[in-house]
Amino acid sequence: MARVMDQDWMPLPERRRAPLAAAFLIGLGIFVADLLSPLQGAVAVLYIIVVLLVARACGPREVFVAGFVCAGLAFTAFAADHLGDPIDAAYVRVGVSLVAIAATTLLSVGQLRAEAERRRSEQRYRTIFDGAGFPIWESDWSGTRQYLLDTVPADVDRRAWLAAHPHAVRAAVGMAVIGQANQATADLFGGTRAGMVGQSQVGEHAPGTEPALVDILVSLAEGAEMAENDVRYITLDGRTVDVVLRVRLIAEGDPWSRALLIALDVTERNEARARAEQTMAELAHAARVSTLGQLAASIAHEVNQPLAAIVNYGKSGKRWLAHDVPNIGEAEGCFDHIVANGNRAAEVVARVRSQARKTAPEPEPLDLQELVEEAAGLIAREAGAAGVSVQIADGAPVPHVIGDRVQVQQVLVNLLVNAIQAMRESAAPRRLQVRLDSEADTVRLAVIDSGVGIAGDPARIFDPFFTTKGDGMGLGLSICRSIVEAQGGRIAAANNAERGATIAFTLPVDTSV
Amino acid sequence: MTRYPAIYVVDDDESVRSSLANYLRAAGREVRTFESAASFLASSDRVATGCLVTDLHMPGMDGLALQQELNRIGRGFPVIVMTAYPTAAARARSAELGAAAFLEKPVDPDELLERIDAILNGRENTE
Repeated sequence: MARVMDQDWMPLPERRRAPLAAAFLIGLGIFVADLLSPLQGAVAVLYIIVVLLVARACGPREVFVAGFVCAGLAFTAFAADHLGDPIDAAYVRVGVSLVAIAATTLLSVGQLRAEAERRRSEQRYRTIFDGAGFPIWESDWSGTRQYLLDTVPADVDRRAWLAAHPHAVRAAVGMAVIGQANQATADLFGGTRAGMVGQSQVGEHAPGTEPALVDILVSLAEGAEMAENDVRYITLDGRTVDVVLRVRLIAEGDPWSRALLIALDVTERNEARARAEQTMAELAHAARVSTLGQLAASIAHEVNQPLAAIVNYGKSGKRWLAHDVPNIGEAEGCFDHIVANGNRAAEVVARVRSQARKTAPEPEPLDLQELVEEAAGLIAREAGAAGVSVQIADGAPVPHVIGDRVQVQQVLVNLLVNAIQAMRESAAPRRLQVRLDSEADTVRLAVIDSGVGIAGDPARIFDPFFTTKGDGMGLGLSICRSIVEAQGGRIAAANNAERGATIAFTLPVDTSV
Repeated sequence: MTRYPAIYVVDDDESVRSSLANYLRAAGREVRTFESAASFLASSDRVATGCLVTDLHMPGMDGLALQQELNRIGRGFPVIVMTAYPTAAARARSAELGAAAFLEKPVDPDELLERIDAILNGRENTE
């Protein structure tokens, strides 16, 4: 009764019962045959069928039991006929049977254990895949690999070629086939798990994503197992999301046939960063305008006082001379005051000019190439925002120059920012080029833009208070000139033959080495 | 000594003070100059009659405080306030304290003299 209940409570699955029953019957048949047949133990080798059947239906422990039972039966049959006989071929036969049973048992157990381990591992993978809080999907990229092999010419710089052929990049990633995606993927990209299977991408790559994709494809093609980059997607429901996309190739099957993709959503982080940068730029601009504004107000006040005095003394002198008896002595006094106040105003102006080069320059040998690269890095974001491409011309290496590092950097950044601003209104391709040329005993650094050029005499742009910007103070380039000239250099501006303007300055070559 | 009441100029900037005084003297007016509100208040001229021309921004007591102090001690000078930084608030406060005029620097001396004459004549007319 209890046994029946047990069967009801935990019945063996149907697929197990049949092989077990077969194993039992076959085992019994072999035993009977072994006992009764004239084959003297040769039949016993067939017990391995029993072991294999049990291995198909049950776990390692049952296989062990089956192995022992079979070995026991084989030995029993042998003992019944031959025990005590002189050693002959029957001993060898039963020995071979026992070894075959033992080997089969051990191999089956090993295989069952490996199988169980694989299943557990698969289960673990599935749990992580499904349960991960971030998007993971599996994709077959073998088509992408094949496309790259077929399309990219063998004898070129592949990265440069792909960068120049964005349609090929899109076609390549379009060859991918998604195998499965977890719920977080469906949530982020606004689709369903089932709907994503068989598609090439989880969402659409936003315009401008190609360089990131090129980077990932080339890294993988060069043998990297893993590649990651910032990628922007348009989701299936039309949102824009920024993710860090990580692609990992799993070494299994055909090359690239199993790629695991993980996307970390950094949209909010990027938005916060963009807001912070925007605020920072606004603050910096406000601070600069306010400093210059204060400077201008204080200059104006200091110059206005002597100017007012000059007007007063002038009008006063006229009055002294207009008296019935002109008072020459008082008039002379007025003229003296006019001269003195005129000088005072000039002193104020001279002081302001010297303020521009107030911090004593600290000349040192400078690598202009390095300085240009640094400056290009500093203005990269501003250039990007204005749609300006910055290019540093490849040329012959130039010798080091002598100058104050910080001040030269200030001049350079100022010229670059001016150039970017000069191109802001320009519809033509906005290109900013920096060239370094070695001249007799100077190095010439030219900032070449493709903007609207300089109206009128280009040399005027270095005059104080000359500005083309609504909110500009017109001091930037004037200060640049003071700095360059204080370091023994020259600065000049000219319109380009075709479009835009070039502002170039020279600095003396370092002769100390 | 003169039939014109004196003009008192209070300004911390020497060039403005002296040049205005020179001009007013050339125009035949009697002028006294002071480099600060305190030095004016300390002089015996604070009890005289005439017209006060004062700068607004000065170290120590400024033009508004000087007006306030004169009101407190009951000296009803007609006051002309000059400033390089004319704010609406300063203009309103100055008018509240009874200033006769509020002029932006640089002040044209011809115009200043006209205002002074108008104020002093008006005053004589009413008195």
